Amino acid sequence: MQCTNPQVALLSDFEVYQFMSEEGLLAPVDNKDKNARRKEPKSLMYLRREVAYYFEKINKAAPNWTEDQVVAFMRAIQPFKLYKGEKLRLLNVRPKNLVALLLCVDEADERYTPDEQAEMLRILQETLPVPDIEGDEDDMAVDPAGDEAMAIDEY
Amino acid sequence: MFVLAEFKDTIRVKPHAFSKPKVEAIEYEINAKYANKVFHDVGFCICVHELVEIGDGIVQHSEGSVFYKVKFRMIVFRPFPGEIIVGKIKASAPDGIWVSVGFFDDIFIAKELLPSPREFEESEQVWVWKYQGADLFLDVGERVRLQVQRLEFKEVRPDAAQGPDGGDTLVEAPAEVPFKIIGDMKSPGTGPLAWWAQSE
Repeated sequence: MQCTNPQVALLSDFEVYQFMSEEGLLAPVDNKDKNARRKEPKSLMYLRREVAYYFEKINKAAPNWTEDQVVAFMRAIQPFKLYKGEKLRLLNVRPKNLVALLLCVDEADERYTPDEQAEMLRILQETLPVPDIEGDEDDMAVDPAGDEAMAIDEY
Repeated sequence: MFVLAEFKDTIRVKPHAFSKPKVEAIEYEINAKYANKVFHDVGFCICVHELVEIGDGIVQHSEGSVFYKVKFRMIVFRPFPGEIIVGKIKASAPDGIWVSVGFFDDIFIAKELLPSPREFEESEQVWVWKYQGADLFLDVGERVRLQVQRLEFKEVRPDAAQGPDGGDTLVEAPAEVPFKIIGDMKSPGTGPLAWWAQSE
């Protein structure tokens, strides 16, 4: 058991979402499927439910995007010559206002003019839509299992 | 928050799995062994991404399983220092706040890295930011942004959770987690999303 390379590549939340949903790992577990146990080990079955929770309740923006939109964003942001880590932060955090943008871009005030900063926000808004439902009122549950237990009662 | 990491391991496929296609059987075993677990100094393993190389299957003389030397890549949760994470406040304690991202709970913000001036409300067990005369609460369940300061990996022995009598008592030892993320909520833009919500 050996890790030959701890960082082959950095992955954005979007890429992880895309991979896992293509593998069917983010769909709810079908309780009626007797073969389900053969297909997935328990540790993964338990974990993927919590990862699905993250994409449903915490990062709600990434699941809505298509690959084309993300590529368009990367192309549009290219002229600003951001570091890889900054582009990743923008993709994961998806800032909607200046304060959040300044959190993602190091020393933004020294490297970019206010117009350029506004332009970055505009690019984000155009290429990567964010769902309007950002309310937290019904979202105070922290335990993914707790949420699921409530859903089952609805049967 | 995630990286693609490459591993090398000898994977054992038991006879009952011989009817499965080889790749499927091997991926199953890798996920069984690695998913939901911390690999020391690397991160918290999520799932297999792809198999890079599979060696020839070897059968041991003592039993019927087939052993494969496999090189594979996994999706691993490991934020980089400086990364911005969004999570939910899981618990507040006098020494700081614990944040969770659903699948990973051991993200800790020490009280010194919470916005000041601050106060811990003993009665409600919640941290409060006293900003310009207003009381802003850091409630459990709030979605918050934090900046990763550093990662802490600890070698934890499997019996670390047992009490001194070695028996059934489960000792709560939060310091003994194998992988802890230390975060900071002092910078503007960090803390509850609701505090910074207006879009421009």
